[in-house]
Amino acid sequence: MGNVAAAETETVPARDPAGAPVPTVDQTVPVFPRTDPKRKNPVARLVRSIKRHKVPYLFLLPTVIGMIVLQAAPILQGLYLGFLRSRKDKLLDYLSAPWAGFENYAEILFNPDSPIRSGLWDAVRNTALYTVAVTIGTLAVGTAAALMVNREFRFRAAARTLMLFPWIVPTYVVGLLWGFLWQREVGLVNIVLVDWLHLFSVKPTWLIGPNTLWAIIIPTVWRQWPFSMLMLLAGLQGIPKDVYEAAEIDGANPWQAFRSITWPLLKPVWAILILHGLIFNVYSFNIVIMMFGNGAGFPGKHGDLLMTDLFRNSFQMWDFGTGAAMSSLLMLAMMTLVFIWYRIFRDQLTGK
Amino acid sequence: MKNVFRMLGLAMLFAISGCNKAGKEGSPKDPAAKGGSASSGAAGAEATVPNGPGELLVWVMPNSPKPEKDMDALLEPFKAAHPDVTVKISVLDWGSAWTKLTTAAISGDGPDVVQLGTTWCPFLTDLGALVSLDDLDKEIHVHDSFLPTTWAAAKPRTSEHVTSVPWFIDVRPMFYRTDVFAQAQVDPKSLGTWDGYLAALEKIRAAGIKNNGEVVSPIGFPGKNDWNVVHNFAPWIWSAGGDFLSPMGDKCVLNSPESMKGILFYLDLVRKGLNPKTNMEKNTAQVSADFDAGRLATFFESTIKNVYLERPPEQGGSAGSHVAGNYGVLLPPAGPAKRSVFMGGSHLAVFRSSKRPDLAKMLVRYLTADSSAQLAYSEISGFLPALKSAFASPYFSADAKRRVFRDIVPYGRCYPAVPYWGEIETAILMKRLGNLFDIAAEVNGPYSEALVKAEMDAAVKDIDGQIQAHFKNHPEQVELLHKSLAAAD
Repeated sequence: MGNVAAAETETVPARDPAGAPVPTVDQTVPVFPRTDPKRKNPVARLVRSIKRHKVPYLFLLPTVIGMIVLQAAPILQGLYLGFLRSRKDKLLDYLSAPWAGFENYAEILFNPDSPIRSGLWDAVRNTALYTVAVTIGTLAVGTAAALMVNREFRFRAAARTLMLFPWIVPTYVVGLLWGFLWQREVGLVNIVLVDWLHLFSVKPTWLIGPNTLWAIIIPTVWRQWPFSMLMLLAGLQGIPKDVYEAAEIDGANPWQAFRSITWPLLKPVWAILILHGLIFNVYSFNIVIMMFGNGAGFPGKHGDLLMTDLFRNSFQMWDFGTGAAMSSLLMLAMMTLVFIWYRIFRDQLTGK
Repeated sequence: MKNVFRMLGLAMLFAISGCNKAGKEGSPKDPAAKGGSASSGAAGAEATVPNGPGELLVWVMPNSPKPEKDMDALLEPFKAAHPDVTVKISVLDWGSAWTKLTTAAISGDGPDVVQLGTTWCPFLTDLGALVSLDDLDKEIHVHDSFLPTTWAAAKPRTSEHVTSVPWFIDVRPMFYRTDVFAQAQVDPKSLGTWDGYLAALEKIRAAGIKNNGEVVSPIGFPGKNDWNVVHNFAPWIWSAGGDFLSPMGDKCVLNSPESMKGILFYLDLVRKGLNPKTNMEKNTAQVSADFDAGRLATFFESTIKNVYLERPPEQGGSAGSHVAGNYGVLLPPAGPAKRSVFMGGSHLAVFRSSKRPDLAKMLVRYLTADSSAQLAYSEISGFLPALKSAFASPYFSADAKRRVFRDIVPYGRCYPAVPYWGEIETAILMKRLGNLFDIAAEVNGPYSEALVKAEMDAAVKDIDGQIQAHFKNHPEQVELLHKSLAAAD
């Protein structure tokens, strides 16, 4: 995430939204020769740039202030909180709670007997499986649906609109709703699978035991695929028709056309969707909390995710220091993941 | 993490606004304001005129069908006595109340009077969020006038002050179907003990009585996805002679032979199929609806169920239905050691941020120590009065079901009133006891008592660790615990 932001801000000073006849990105390079000492000092560069483009920077100011207040400040205080002994009795002290150093981190990483470690591995494993399964699932369903509604047929507009329905359902409603659908005896899922289709001889139990993971993966895919479809559809419509026509003249069959045109040209969209899936699903919370007792109870060994585990350890154990330390570790892990993602998809994103 | 950060961010904003206020009114860390603000008169001289005009903000939970209206009606006599005072009722949801209360405690921007679940009292007292009610206690004598089970939360074991007054109590009798019992030829009187209860349940199952084509289940208990997991285990553990914590409250004894006996009995109801496995996926509301629909022969539910069954449908009740005409209530069966039922309930407290603490105390006094107010609220809500004298009313002696409610009260028992109970219950026991349902339902492999024991051993390890961590931060409370135990003896 950090890299993307950095990449964006780097290009900003070079652009001129006002449309004045200034040099483009590539042309700015020779303006500052490597020997120019001012180029080496980024602060001086920024000041120079601000002086040159006052109005564009003025327009950026509200966003910068907003990001500092709403993102940078909470993130920084979250990081700081991870180094404090902020338990329930120090709640009123907030950020002036006693300094703990790396105590909270040591507790999470090196103390296997710590209560915070109990069930943590289950949560990590479930979150990994959940994120991978949901991301792949939404991409697969989304791609199929996008290809389908990209064809000409009657009521296409109505079909596209209807397909967006799962996406507009709030996640906590999805959790509640599927909580009913998964019920063993009276739930619609088992009625369809067992009573109508006879796929299983015995009705499976979904809300307890190992199946719980599926009970949260499937509703999440159901909720998210329309978003993938929407993004991919936009991508598909950005591919010029004449490319396909040319392929057809060259004798390519539909599969070859997909392999050689659609697939590579959609890669940037997939890259964005994979990133979105990774971040969105690792931080998934609502579906689990709503499906398993509206915030009560424990989702079980096979249904607990990192966010629900973190929530319990912070807000139910009243140990905000350790909770913040855990969040910081998670953020570090996520930044690593995003970095890997960027290395893999860099070429697609920069168009090289 | 987004959620967590968002909440932390909010907390920060509140903390900032709270600090500004605290600067004017004295720091919240000021020991005089924290320990006993009322006794030291920290509230400020301008706020001590009890009968002047003013506004009181009261936070309550949805205790009755129309929470706001019902409270307004209940407060009519108080308003008549204090014509200058406007009382504003705010209804909180149980799910969000805890966050709102702690936020209010941190920000210092809270209500005057607040309803607290009994298990919250020790923690909020510890936090210094509540005003000392010692002077009110001298007038109404909590220790003599209110049910003994409520004392512990009124004056938590780690506190030297009374910080809340019992408002109402919540006990769970056994509801049963008189028609099903008659058909299965079960005598309700035979359900007095665990063995008798088990025999009756087997008999009901053998009779195979049907309701709209479905077999009536002998008992219905919800599973782990529910707020009541710990409350549902508690009576069985206590009745077997076991407990959650040692008498000192400093060790978990959930894996003792007595506690295990109670846990295994409760799980056996599932293992023997008397409580169908499908119920393991349900919550209390769903199981309660099953009883209304006639699918259950017995189940345990708060006394508020009775009000629901007696109230006409246009007022949201189910009077006139088949079940409403064919049910009775019983004392829960006695275990091998004793008869013990879980007793919850709510207290009223005055928040530290109150600008009119003395007026707020008068409101608390009216709602808790006034026998007719206690009775009136019991009639609307279905919860039972906390004030002993209210039980003398014919309301409790004239009706067979309410006689049972009155008789249950002495068997009521609460969780230990220690400030670390909250996280033990919500974070550790919810999880560990919830896992037992997975073991009983055999979702991960065959059932064995050793698995149950291992899970409880793990619970003991978690809880003991939590208690040790608490005392590491509060060494001074060890002595208070000893003292309170000596006082209890």
